[in-house]
Amino acid sequence: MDFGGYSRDRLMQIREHYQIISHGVCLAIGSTDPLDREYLRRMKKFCREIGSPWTSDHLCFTKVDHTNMLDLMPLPFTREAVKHVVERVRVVQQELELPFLLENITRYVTVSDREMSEAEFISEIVTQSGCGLLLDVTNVHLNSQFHGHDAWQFISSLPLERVGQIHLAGWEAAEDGSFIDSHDAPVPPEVWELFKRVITKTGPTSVLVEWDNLLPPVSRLLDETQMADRVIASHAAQVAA
Amino acid sequence: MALQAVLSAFRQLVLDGVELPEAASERARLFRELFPDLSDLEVDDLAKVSPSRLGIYTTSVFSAEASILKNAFPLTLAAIESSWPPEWGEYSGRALAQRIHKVAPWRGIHSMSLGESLIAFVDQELAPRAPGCPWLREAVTLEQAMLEIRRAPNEPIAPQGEAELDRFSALKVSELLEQEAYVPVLVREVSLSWDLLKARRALLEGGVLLEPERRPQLVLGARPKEYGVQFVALPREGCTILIENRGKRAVLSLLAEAFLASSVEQGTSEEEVFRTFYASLRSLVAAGALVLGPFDTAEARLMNPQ
Repeated sequence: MDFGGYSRDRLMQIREHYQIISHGVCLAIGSTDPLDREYLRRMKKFCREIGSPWTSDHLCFTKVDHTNMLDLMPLPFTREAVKHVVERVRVVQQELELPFLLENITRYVTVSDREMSEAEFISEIVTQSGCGLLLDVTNVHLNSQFHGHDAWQFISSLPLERVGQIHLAGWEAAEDGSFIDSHDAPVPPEVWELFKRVITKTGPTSVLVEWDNLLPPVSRLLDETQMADRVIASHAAQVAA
Repeated sequence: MALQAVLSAFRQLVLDGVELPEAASERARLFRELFPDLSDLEVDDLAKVSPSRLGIYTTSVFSAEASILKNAFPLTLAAIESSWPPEWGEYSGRALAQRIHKVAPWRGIHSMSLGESLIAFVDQELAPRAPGCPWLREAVTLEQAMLEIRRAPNEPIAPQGEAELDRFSALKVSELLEQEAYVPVLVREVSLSWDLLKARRALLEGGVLLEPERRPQLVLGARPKEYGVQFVALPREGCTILIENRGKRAVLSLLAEAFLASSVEQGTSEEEVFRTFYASLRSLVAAGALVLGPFDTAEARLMNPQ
């Protein structure tokens, strides 16, 4: 975010025509390493420069023991982790002076669900800290496949009134049938179905279709965003009727 | 404390290549030895995690690191692959990333700090085992400098293009030397003994790693108006004066004096020195290593005081 050159200049050109919203992967909100105050300072400056109305990051840890883990690592669903994250979210909100949202991640393993479920873990953190929820519907769907739970039941038990943005994405299955959250394919029908149900609970809200690997032509990307727009418009029409 | 111990254990399982038994009970026994700070319940929780699922993270982390390295350090990685000691097994980007992690884990969040880990790996592990590639250390230094230049924050004064350069061709020598210039903070000096810029270009364009020619030179790298990274070869005195004045305004006569000092030793005529100086000046401006004034008050305020 503090880089210069081509990417920054293009970003600022885009900003002249479109609203840009900041979304991060490096905050490491769940890490036990000290919060990176310098990162927060730069994040605040960057959000001001691009005019981002809020910012978000993932409910996970991306570093520990001062080592960059690069990926979004799952936290144990414990009361201690809830307390720890809530305290850090409060600091982040105070420092950034902006609304802050936490996103539910795709996780391939469960570190611990002895004390509470993932939905309870997310709900506790969001409610106690007062932050917003960035609901990644694809991540919920993938986790339901990985861990054998019901995706809609999971979503229904979250504080949906706190949803500030929704993420949707697709993935390509590997040759061995395994799959990861790769953001490299169209949003699949089962995720669109979940999204339609989510919108009935959250109402119209900001939606991002994530596609950041194996990019298709822009027209294909626009098809996806138009699909999201149609779902929201259809819900609005039903409510109005 | 407990959370710290759990996250730290998870990190070690993902990154440190711990061989995990298939049976959960065996894993629990191993974790009790490896992670004495974990409670019995925490050990049992971690032991339930399937090794293959954990392996998804290991693959994801090291593949991503390998991809970052391949993009930012193509020449270095080609040299590493060609010098890979057979006793380390088959070369792969992932194998390299794992070996780098063992020597110098990635501490920061930027690719530049991963580059620092790569430099430590080259110095401590590979260079002593790769006598056939004496330019390896220079390659990694060069590509790290390129990364820093490409990613550096924008300067208060933008680089100038060819059209703006023409403005200066009409000036008399004395007028030109009185011109103010700004040296961007992002300018980097790299000392090369081999022609690695040519070798890198050949690799990127032809996909073939050619043995670089021996060609000692000092180069200054900067970011031109058209982005990317451009290098200019300069005499030592010229490099020094520019590096010393990074982030400052200076008059061009300072730079000219440095050129003169280096050329007098070589017994070159003043006219020849000026011609060389002018050609270097154009190259420096085109590369974004020097921005010529005059600067307005607002621009001057953004630069550090002289």
